[in-house]
This record gives sequence, structure tokens and C-alpha cells, in this order.
Amino acid sequence: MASGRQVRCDPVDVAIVGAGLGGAAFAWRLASRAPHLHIVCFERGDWLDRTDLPAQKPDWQRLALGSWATSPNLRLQAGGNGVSADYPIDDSGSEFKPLMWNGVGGSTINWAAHFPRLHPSDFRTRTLDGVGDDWPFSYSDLEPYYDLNDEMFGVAGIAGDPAYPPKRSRRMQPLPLGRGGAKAARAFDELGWHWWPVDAAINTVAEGARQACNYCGPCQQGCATGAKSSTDLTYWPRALAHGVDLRTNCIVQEIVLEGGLAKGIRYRDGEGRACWQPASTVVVAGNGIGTARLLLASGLPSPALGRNLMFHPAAYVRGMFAEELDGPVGPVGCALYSHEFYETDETRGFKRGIHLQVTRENPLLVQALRLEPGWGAEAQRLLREEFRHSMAVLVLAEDLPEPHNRVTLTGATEADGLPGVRVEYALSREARRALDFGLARAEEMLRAAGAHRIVRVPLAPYTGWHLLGTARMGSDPTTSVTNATGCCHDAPNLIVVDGSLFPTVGACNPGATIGALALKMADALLGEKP
Amino acid sequence: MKRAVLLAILDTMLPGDDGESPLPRASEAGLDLAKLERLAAPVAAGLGGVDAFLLAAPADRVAKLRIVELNAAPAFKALLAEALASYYESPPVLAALGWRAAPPQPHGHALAPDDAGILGALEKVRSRGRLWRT
Ligand SMILES: Cc1cc2nc3c(=O)[nH]c(=O)nc-3n(C[C@H](O)[C@H](O)[C@H](O)COP(=O)(O)OP(=O)(O)OC[C@H]3O[C@@H](n4cnc5c(N)ncnc54)[C@H](O)[C@@H]3O)c2cc1C
Ligand code: SF4
Repeated sequence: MASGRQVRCDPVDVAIVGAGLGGAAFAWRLASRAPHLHIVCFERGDWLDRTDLPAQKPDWQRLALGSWATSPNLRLQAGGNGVSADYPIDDSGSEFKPLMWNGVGGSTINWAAHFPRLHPSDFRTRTLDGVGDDWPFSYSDLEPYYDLNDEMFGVAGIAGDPAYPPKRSRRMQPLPLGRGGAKAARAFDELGWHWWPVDAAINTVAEGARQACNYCGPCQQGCATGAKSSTDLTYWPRALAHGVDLRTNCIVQEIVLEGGLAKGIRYRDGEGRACWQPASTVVVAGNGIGTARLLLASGLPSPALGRNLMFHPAAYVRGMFAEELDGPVGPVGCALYSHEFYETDETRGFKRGIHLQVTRENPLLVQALRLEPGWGAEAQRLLREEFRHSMAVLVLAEDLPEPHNRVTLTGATEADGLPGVRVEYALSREARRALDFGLARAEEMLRAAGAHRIVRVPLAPYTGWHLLGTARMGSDPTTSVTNATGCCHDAPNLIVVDGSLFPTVGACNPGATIGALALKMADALLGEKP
Repeated sequence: MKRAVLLAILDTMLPGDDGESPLPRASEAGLDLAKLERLAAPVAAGLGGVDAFLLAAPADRVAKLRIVELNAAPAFKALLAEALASYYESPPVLAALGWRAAPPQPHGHALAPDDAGILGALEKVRSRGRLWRT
């Protein structure tokens, strides 16, 4: 790092930390509604170069397990990839390993773009089921923002799903279910259970420079065609056109707090210089781990900060079929889902529900690595049996907020200048029951579909895709970090606009809700309505 | 380490099969052996004599390797990971599994469009009524 005097930047109206999902949506909305504001966003990583992705290289399977893995720890161990500016996370005390991307677009660069909304009941778990906490607003309050966020991302799907209140018609036709998806759909029908093709933030028709999906498979290593929506392709070009100043390779070290207000941020720029950026309002969107880490490092006193980390605990079942299926073809997370068991039914022995998602298969090498035994003639026999003959069903459960599941700082200072970060997470008994119930239902579906062999993965550690709840909204400053508009109780001009805000998380993917929330928070800052 | 020992270890891990389109054994899959050789050295050292390993019947080689897997787990794991990666990205192996050697892009893959009957079945799902609570 270069030494010398601190670079002082001219004061701005709004400084945003993190150019991922929440940061991008917030920046665009604020800039488009208040063009007079001077808005700067600081992002620790870089822009993605879509001409240089693993999917274009012969060793793509290996890259997907190394320098382009979904886990920042694995990427760092493999020497990094030069785009995602990763920091190590001590996840030895967590049953799920946090996954993310640290560059422009944030974790939408390597997300699977499965794009469900929460259900209305997810906003009222305390009132309806006596667990968790109610959100400070309802599904219908968020609905206009869900719609706007859908427009910005572009959704492929089919309206009319009875698991949700009516949604507007989807802009693009759904992704094909594929042979596995069609088989699963028939089995769900036979059982009389709900199923629906996923809403996907993936173009099924070309739009401008972005091609239609060509079903290449490895969405979680970035999308070479640009078919998969990520905020570097959706929100950012429009935010930049509205004059937002996006500074990449800038690592925010501290939010300076004085007298109960945020005064600005200290950051390290791409040349290693220490910089000071005064700002009237500071907005944080570093994700459920990055935000907690930065706010803890900045000394925000809130007792709930970093606590109540929620992941959506995940498990899998794989079924093996005699017929040939598609294997690792198509967007990996997006085929169809069932919300038959999403709403509470206490006769199941737990409150809240589960999400079943029929996915596409992993690359051949991942399939080879997960076998038991792992080598020898039997392993190769199993691989023959599975490759292009297996169907995977993901089970996601709702984990409720528990203060002991949390993000804390280690005593160390990391290479990025910030304190080290640790994640502690233990699966609750209730969530275990929910996962077991879901695994049994998934197995029932696979058997109905004709699977002749089933493999259960009762807990899948490398599924920490959703980093939520560590700076949650609420009215009580002892149990929440922000109010309903994302403003910190302990510093009202410090606003959180990312997945950290969730008071509870439902049982399905959070991206659509994070985008909607960030748009809502931007309007709240301006005192405006949708 | 003798090349023959390396190949014997790799062939024990990945013996191939004699299916309709046979999977080649590792030694015949065109793997780059330089890196594997380095990783195999500590595994070979745990075999209790490489000559005996070379002379052993296939089942005995498996048993000997299992012992190394237990006693020198990190070294064994590192070799296995590299062997699997090299093997399952090798064009003859991919061809034997009916998969192409070219990477996923720029050509992508084909997915057949859904038949109308399947999406028509959504009407049945809808007719069972709403599932969400307020
Ligand atoms: C592999 C994978 C698959 C997923 N699949 C899905 C899916 O199918 N559907 C779905 O809904 N969700 C999915 N998710 C989750 C979804 O991508 C995230 O929930 C969402 O992107 C989080 O938004 P965010 O704004 O909270 O944070 P992010 O999008 O992660 O953005 C945080 C940004 O802040 C930056 N940052 C952090 N700290 C600093 C700092 N100190 N200084 C400067 N910049 C900083 C980071 O670099 C990053 O760019 C997936 C996630 C992963 C990793
Ligand atoms: S499957 Fe489609 S969305 Fe996924 S990376 Fe390939 S082209 Fe992009």
C-alpha cells in the first residue's frame, strides 16, 4: 500500500459502499429520481470481462472449483481471479460456507438467477405463526418495487402461479424445462402437488447486446452471453447514464461516525492510497457479511449488528433414471419449483415451510468428485450410471433469526486493511426437521418420476448463497439495527440497503426481494412513493 | 519415481471400463503426467514398496492404495483431485461418456422446447386454487 498523505475528496451527497444487487438498484433509483444529487459508489472489485470467462476455456471445470469457485475462500486458495476482490472468511464455525462475488454486480455475477419473490405470509411470521418477527411492512407495500425490479432485471417465466398473488405477465417466455424438468412436472402432477416453471432473471430472447441463453450451463462462473441478468448489465449502465460516479477497486475501510451521525468514509483506492470521502449520507450494501464486517469495524454500537445471520439451510436429493436426461445443460438453478409445502402446516411437526427446486445437473467433474467411493472401478460405474441420468432436487428451508448465528470480527487485520471476519452458524432443530421433511417429499417425487436409485445429501455445506439478516430492520434498537427505511437506529444518515436488512427470510431465494427493498429505501430517502 | 509406478497408481484410481464406448484407463487417457508425478511421490512412498505394488494383482493394488488413503489422507486427496480433474477433462474420456470436448461457450448446448402438454398441465395446478396466505 502506498504511504503518504490522505487524499481528500470533495464532499458528496451520497456515498454508497458496494456495487452489488442492493447498491446498484439503490444508486439507479436515487439518481433517476434526484438528478441533482452527487452520488458516488465504491466497489472493492472490478468489472467483469465477458470475453475471458471459464466457460470459454478447456479447463473450465477445474476453474469452477478453483479460482472461479463460488466460495471466496476457495478462490483465494487458488490464487484469486483478479476480478473479484475477495477477503478470507473464517467459516470453520459455520455449517454453511458463505458464497459471494466481490466485484461490480456483486453476487449477481455468480448467482443462478432463480428469481422468486417471498410470499405475503413471509412478512408476518410472528402474527401468523408465532415465530420470528414481522417485517415493518407488507408484501403489498413492496409489490410495486417487486414489479419495477422485475422490469429492470427482465424476467422469463409464466404468470398465474397460484402460490403467489397475481403478478404482471412475464416479459419473456420461460426457460425450457428440459427432459428432467418435464419428468419432474409429470411426477408433481401425479402426486397432485403444486409445481411451476421458475421465474428466471435470464433472457430467453436476445435484448440489445445481450444474447438469449444458449443453455451452456455454468451460470455460477459468470455468463458469457450476457443472457443472465446481473446488475453490471441491468442497473449499472442506467445508473452511470444518470451520472452516478462508480469507483472500482476501492476498498472501504471505515465509516466515520461522530456524534451519532455518519460523516463519510475512509477508503483505499486502486493505487493503495488512503482516501477520505465526506458525505451527507452513507449507504451500505456490502452483503450480509461485508456490511456487518464494515459496520462492526466502524464501531456502530448496535447490539443486534452481525447477529441473526440466516442462510436458508439447504439439502439435496438426487434420483437416478434409466432414461437419458439432459445432464449439465441449461441454467443450473432454473427449471421448476414446488411450493406445495411452503406455507405452515403444524401437523408436519415444524412451523414455516420448505421450497423444492428441480435444478439442472452439475458439470461432470463435480459429479465425479461427489461420489462415494471416490475412486476405483465402482466410482466409475456409478458415474456412468449418473452422468446424464440423474435429477437433483434442492430443498431450502426457512431458518429463523437466532442471535447466536452471527458475523463477528477476528483479532487479525487482513490484507485488505479491514479486520478479519468470522461466521458462526448452527442449524436449529426446527430447520433440521423442515429439511428432513423436504428431503422425504423430494424423494417421494423422484420415486414417482421413476428414479431407481436415490442419494440423499442431508446437509450441503457449500450452499451459503444467501447472506441475510445481520443488520435487520425493526423498531426495537436492542433487537434490530435499522428502522423500516434502512436508517441505522444509532446513526440515522447511515442506511443499509442489502440482504442484511431481512428480519426473516422465507424459504426461497432473496434476490428479487433485495432489489425491491433497495428501490424502496431509495424512495424513502427522498420521501417519495413508487 | 518410476513412470510405471505413477501409471499403476493412476490406473488403480481410474481403471476405465469396457462399456459400449469404453472409458480408457488413466494411462491411456492422454493425461499430462508431470504434475501428477509430483503429487504421486508421497503416495508412492506410503505403498510399502513400489515393486510389490507393481507386481500385485488389481484387487491388492486397491487394498494397498486404500491404506495410503487412510494414512496419508492429504497427499492422497491432492493426487486424487488432480487425477480426476485431468481425467474428466480429457477428450477421449468425454467422448466415451458421450460428451463433447469443446468448452460450454461459444456454442452452448441444445435444450428441446417443452411440449405443449406439459405447460398445459399448469391449468390443473391453477385449478387446485391459491396456496398463499395473507
Ligand atoms: C453462487 C451464488 C448463487 C446464487 N443464486 C441465487 C439465485 O438463484 N437467486 C437469488 O435470488 N439469489 C441467489 N444468490 C444470492 C444473491 O446473489 C445475493 O443474495 C445478492 O446478490 C445479495 O445482494 P447484496 O446487495 O446483499 O450483496 P452483493 O450482491 O453480494 O453485493 C455486495 C457488494 O459489496 C462489495 N463490498 C463489500 N464490502 C466492501 C467494502 N468494504 N468496500 C467496497 N465494496 C465492498 C462487494 O464487493 C460486492 O460487490 C446467489 C448467490 C451466489 C453467491
Ligand atoms: S446457461 Fe444461459 S444464463 Fe447460464 S451462463 Fe449459460 S448462457 Fe448464461
